[in-house]
Amino acid sequence: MTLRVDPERVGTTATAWDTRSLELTGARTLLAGLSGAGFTTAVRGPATAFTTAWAGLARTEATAAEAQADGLRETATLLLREDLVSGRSLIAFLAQLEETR
Amino acid sequence: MTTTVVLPPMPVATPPLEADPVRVAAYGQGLRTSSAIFDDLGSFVAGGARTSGLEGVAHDAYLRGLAPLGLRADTESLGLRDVATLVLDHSDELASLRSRRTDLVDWADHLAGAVAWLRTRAPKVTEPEAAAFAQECRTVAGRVADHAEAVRTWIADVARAEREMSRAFSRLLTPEQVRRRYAGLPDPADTALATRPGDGASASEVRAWWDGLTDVQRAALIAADPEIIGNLDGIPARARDAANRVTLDRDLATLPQIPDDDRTDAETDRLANALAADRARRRMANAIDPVTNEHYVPQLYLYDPDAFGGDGRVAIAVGDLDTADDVAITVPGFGTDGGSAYDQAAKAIDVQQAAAQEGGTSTATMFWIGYDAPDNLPLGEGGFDGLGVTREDLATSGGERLAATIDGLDAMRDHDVHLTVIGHSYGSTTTAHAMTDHHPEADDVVLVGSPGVGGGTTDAGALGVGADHVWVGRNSADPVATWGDDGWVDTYLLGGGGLGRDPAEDDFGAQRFEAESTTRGQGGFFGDHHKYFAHDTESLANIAHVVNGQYAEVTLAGHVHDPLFGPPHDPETDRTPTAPDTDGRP
Repeated sequence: MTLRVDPERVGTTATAWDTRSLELTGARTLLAGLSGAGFTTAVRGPATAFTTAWAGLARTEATAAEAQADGLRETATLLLREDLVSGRSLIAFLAQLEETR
Repeated sequence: MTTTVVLPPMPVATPPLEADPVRVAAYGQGLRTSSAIFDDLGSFVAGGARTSGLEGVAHDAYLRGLAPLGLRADTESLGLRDVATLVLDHSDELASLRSRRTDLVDWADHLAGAVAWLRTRAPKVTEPEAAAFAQECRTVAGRVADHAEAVRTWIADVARAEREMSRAFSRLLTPEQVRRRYAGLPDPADTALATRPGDGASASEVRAWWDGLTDVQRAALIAADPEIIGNLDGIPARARDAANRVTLDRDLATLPQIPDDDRTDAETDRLANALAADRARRRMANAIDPVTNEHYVPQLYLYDPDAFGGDGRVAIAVGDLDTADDVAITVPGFGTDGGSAYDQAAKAIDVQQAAAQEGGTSTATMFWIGYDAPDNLPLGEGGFDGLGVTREDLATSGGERLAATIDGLDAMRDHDVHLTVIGHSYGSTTTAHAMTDHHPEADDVVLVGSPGVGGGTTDAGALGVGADHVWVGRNSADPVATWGDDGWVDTYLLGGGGLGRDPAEDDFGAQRFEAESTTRGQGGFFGDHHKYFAHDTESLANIAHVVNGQYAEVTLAGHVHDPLFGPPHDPETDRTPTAPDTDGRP
C-alpha cells in the first residue's frame, strides 16, 4: 500500500522544529536577562520595555515552532492510523514520530 | 582717563554623563545574537521546514501554515538586527560623548584657574596696566564663552543621542509595528553575500570585497551569517570578532536549552567547545594589559566548534590585531583541541605581558588552535591515540591552514605589521611546514620544544624569512626537543617515522636562544617541555624580544652538536639557568 506519510522525514522535521523552539527559548532568556543599566536615565525605561517586548515575541515564536512540531506529529499519526491496517506496523511507525526534545 | 575692566565669569559646569558604553555594547551584542536566532528560524522556514514528510493536501495545508510564521521571523530578525546595530553605534557615541566631557571638564579647570588668577590680580592693577589687563580679561571671557557654547553643543548631542535611541526602541515593540516597517524589505545580508568571492579566493580578494560593502551590509552579514564572516581570512579582526561573538553567544544561549540526555554527540561537542572558548575569553578579559593598565578586550578571531569531527577550531587574541605594530601567533602542539583554549589563552597573555615588560608598546598576541593537532603524547595517557604526533600529515595540513591565517592577517591590515609565528612542540613542525611549503608573510619564526621541522627541511633558510630570523628555544631537559634528527641520523629518510631535523642543531643554521629553566628537571618527565611560556624564564624573555623586534637583546645559546661518534652534545646542559623578570612582579 502507498502511505501518505514518510514517518522518518516527519520525525526529522518535527525534531528540527523542536530545536528551533528551544533556540527561541534561549533567545527569550537572553533578551529577558539584558540589563539596560548602562544607558542614561532617559533611555533606560525604553530599553527595558524593548527587551521585555522582544522576550515576549521570542516566547510567541517558540510556542509557534513547538506547535508546528506537534501539528506535524499529530497529522502524521492520524494519517498513519487511516493508512495502516496492521497494529504492529503502526507501532513501529509511531516510534519514529516520538517527541525527543 | 578711567579704564573699565569686566572680569570674566567662571566657566559653566558640564553635566554628568551617567552611562556605561561597555554595558550598552553588551546589551547591543545580546540583541544581535538574538536577531541571529530569529534569522535561523526564518532560514529554516524557507528551507528545511518545507520538506514535511507529509503528502497531498496535508502537506499543502502545512505549507500554508508556514507562510505567516516565515514572514514574522524574517521581519523580526531584520528589526531586531537594526536596533542592535543602533545600540552598538549608540555605545560608540556614548564613549565619544564621555571623552568629550572629559575634555570639557579639563578645559573648564584650566579656564577657572585663569579666571581666579585675574580676580586675584584685579585689585592690584595700576592705571597704566589697566588697558592690557582689560584686554586679558576680554580674551579669557571669550574663551569662557567658547567653552559654554561647547558645553551647550555637548548637552544637545547627548539629548539627540538619547532621543534617537529611545525612538528606535519605542517604534518596534509589537509584531504589527515590526511588520509595517520591515515586511517586503530585502535582507541586505543576502545581496551582500551573493557578491562574495568564491571559495578559492585569496585573502586580498576577500578584503577588497569587504571594503566594497556598505556599513549596513557589513552589519547585516555579521548578524545573519556569522559563521562565514567570523572565519573568513581577509576580513578585519574587529568584524570577525563581532561575528564570532554572535555564534558563540548563540551557542551559549541555545545549546544548554537542550536537555543533557537529549543532546546529540555533535551538540555535546559543540557545547563543550563553546564553554571552553567562553572560559578562555573570560580569562583574557580578566587579565591586565601592562601598557594601559586596563583589562584586555579579547578578539575572537576564529570560532568553528564543529571542525575536525568536533575537536573544534578557535583563536583568540589580546591586543588589537587590526592595528598593533607587533603581532604574534602561538601555535600549540599535541594534545590541543578546542577544549584546550583556556590553557592556550594563558600563553597569549604571558607573551603579550612579557613583550610589554620588555618595552613593547603596541603588541597583539593570539593563540591559534586552528588545525587538527595530534590528540596526545604517545607515552601519555592517550596511548596509541597519540601516534599522530610521530606522523607529519597533520603538520602538513595544519601548515596550510596556518599559512592561510598569516596571509589573512596580512591582507586585513591597513598598515604593515611585524608578525612573529611561535610554534611549540608539534606546533613547531606545523609552523615550519607553513613557512617552507607556502611562504606566508611572516617576519620572524620561533620554534620552541621542537620535535623536528619536517622531513626534507635541512636548513633554516628554507623557512623563507632568512636564517637569522628563525629562532629556536630548546630546554636541554625537554625530552620532546631531543626527538629531532641530529648529525647523520635521518629518521625521515629511514621510513618517515620522525618529524625531521632538530632546529637547535648547528648544521641547521637557526639562531638558538637561551631557554633553560631554574626549575630544570622538575615537574615530571615532560615538565621542561611546558616551561617555554612561563613568566620569569629565559625562554619567554627571549620570545618577547623577538616579538618586539629587539634582536640585539636576545640572549643566544650554543647549538647542539652531533659528533661523528657518540651522542649529540648540548652545551646548555651545564649552564646555570637565569630568571629574567618578564612580568614586573617579584
